[in-house]
Amino acid sequence: MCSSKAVDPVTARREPSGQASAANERLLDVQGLSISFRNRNGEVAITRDVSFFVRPGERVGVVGESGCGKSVTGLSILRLLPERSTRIQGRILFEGQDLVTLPARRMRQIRGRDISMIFQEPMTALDPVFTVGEQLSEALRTHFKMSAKEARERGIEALAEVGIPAPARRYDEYPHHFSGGMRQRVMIAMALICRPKLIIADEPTTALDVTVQAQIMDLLCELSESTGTALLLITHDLGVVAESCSRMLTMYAGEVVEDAPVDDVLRRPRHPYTSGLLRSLPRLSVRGQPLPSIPGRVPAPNRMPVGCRFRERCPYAVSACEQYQAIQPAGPDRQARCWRHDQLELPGAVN
Amino acid sequence: MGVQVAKPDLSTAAAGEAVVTVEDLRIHFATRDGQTVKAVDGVSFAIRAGETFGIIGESGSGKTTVGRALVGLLRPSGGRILYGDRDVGSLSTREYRRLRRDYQIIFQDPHAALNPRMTILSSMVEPLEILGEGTADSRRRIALEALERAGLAPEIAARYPHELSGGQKQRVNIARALTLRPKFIVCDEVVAALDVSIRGDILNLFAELQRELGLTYAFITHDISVVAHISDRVGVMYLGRLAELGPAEAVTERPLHPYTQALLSAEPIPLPSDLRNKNKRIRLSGEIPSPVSPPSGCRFRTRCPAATERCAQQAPEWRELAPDHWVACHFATPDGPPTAA
Ligand SMILES: Nc1ncnc2c1ncn2[C@@H]1O[C@H](COP(=O)(O)OP(=O)(O)OP(=O)(O)O)[C@@H](O)[C@H]1O
Ligand SMILES: Nc1ncnc2c1ncn2[C@@H]1O[C@H](COP(=O)(O)OP(=O)(O)OP(=O)(O)O)[C@@H](O)[C@H]1O
Ligand code: SF4
Ligand code: SF4
Ligand SMILES: [Mg+2]
Ligand SMILES: [Mg+2]
Repeated sequence: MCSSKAVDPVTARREPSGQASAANERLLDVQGLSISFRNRNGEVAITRDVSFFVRPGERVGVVGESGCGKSVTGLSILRLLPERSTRIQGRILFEGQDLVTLPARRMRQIRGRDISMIFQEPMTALDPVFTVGEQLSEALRTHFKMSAKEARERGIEALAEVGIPAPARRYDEYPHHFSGGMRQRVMIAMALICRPKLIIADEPTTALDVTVQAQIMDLLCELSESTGTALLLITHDLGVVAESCSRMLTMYAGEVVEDAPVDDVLRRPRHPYTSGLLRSLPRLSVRGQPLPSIPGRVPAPNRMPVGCRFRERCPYAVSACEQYQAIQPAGPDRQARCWRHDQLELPGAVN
Repeated sequence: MGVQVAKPDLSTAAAGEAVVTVEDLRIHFATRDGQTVKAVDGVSFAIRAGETFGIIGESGSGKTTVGRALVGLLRPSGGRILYGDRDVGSLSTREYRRLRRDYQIIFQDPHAALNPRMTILSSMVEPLEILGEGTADSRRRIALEALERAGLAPEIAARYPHELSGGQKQRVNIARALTLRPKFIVCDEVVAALDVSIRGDILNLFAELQRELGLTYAFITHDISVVAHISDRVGVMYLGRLAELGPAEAVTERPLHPYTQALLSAEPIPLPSDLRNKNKRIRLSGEIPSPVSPPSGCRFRTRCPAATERCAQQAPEWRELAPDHWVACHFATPDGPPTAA
């Protein structure tokens, strides 16, 4: 990699923070984030009081029912939601500065350089009319003073780093010449080229086959480890979280309902929704026997119940659950949004 | 819930009798630039009455193409398809129409399959209308019965698709296929678009309908844990061919083909780290090659860790290495796949 060079504009700025940052340091600290969208009929609240943090170099998985606000939360960090129709309350502290109120010019400097994003469909991020090389070098030269020649070398190195064969040749090809898996690699190369401190990956492997998914996830984890890049990984695949993250956030109906070290939550979840999700995995059931599932459906954003939002589907609901549920400590380094978290023995992914 | 899933008592067909058989099936497409996509290129199997026949394999391996051919939506470019013991190609149009309605397909996307401007009831009676069956009243009754079978309240019938959840829409699609009283249903990725938390619910419904109505399924999915759970037998496709076929438990727990083994090892396991087998993963390099110009010999050889010279020259034979357990690999033995060369 580039570390052999005497003065390296890209990695140089990383040295002071280093790998061995204090365990309690927070790279990203989201506090009380509530996001709503305005439409013709008023305003729809999508997330409520979302708080979580990511430590430097840490990999955090975000799971939850479709529509619960995972992508919206990820996009809000990079301020990629439509400004006109979005209302954001709360703070998104990145290295101590609040991204919610940061001037647009400063935000552009952070985007792509300190924080980058990987999407499910690489073609939404890659421009079909420019070669892959042009896009990589553009990404670099937006943020660093660098000659075209050097940017080209960097770009080729970046393609090699993500395992693209014959990178020097492929550098000059257009995105549509790449297969789905290779495009996703290009996107990872693009996300990593400025050596960001945080990558937000929204379903990065959902469109890919398991064998290719395994290659891409291994690559992301290896690169995150070798470069000290933190990862916020949004996915519906609990297996992917188990294998690549150290912490898991579970979201339900616009709220974080559980936040815990991944091994702990897999063994013993503290929120009934997390437990239901884990129990739904077919591998836990005996072949040919009925599969467990969570009855009912998520309430619509404009019809959220007053108390616990999971109440209508929760097998452990009692009348006290009609009270508002705040997220609360539930053991070492973990939290759950359920007042019964310490009364219940909830089953997890281990039989 | 809590119902025991037992195999149906098959009064109409003896268990084991084939509902549909494909022999050396080939389906080729011509592309705009004059090339030929060999989407399915020599596949043979028989689906037995009352069973769930799982089909797994990577994207582009030909699963959907096989599924569409099974229900007559695609014509074979080579080989033949039999419904029972009748060669579909030799039937008269009338006979074919009559048989064809026993063979239905349900697709992945519960949203795309329903017309957004039609009520659920109108969508439900449409297939029967097209066939010109019964009266408006009887069609309506059949539709409502099918909705009930699929676990939906009759009020649903008056609603529009956008008023239903994904899971409810998929139930409507299942109900719609049931109105034709099929014997056989191809289920193509039918839970892929649904939340993990409600997949079990839909899969249970399929099992229940199978038990009650004696249905036979071809169940196409990417999800190995789903296929392992619900199938009796599993076929593994790679680049237009079958790599392996056998009892679900054997294929998903003791695979014989290196591709199946790699596929299983690639699946991420949702278990705490101390319970996962750390070095289980077999890393396959690259991706599935183009079906326009598949590799010579064994189609898996460009990615196979055990490939040898012979694999490039000779296509492996289809061999039965254990009872009912077939594999296409020169070097597989009843003990398992060959190890890396
Ligand atoms: N720009 C927008 N304007 C209005 N509503 C939006 C906008 N973007 C998202 N939403 C709504 O916000 C909710 C949350 O969407 P989001 O995409 O975050 O869900 P998700 O958790 O990522 O789901 P999935 O697992 O399906 O990707 C949804 O109801 C969605 O329709
Ligand atoms: N109508 C068509 N014309 C040309 N090529 C086609 C057509 N239908 C399918 N193909 C090609 O045939 C091959 C097999 O496609 P098929 O849809 O059967 O794969 P699949 O196994 O179902 O994949 P997936 O898991 O992505 O659904 C692919 O290469 C596909 O591009
Ligand atoms: S607060 Fe009550 S309803 Fe909500 S998750 Fe806990 S037990 Fe269930
Ligand atoms: S025949 Fe050769 S290339 Fe094919 S699976 Fe067997 S060992 Fe691998
Ligand atoms: Mg999303
Ligand atoms: Mg398909």
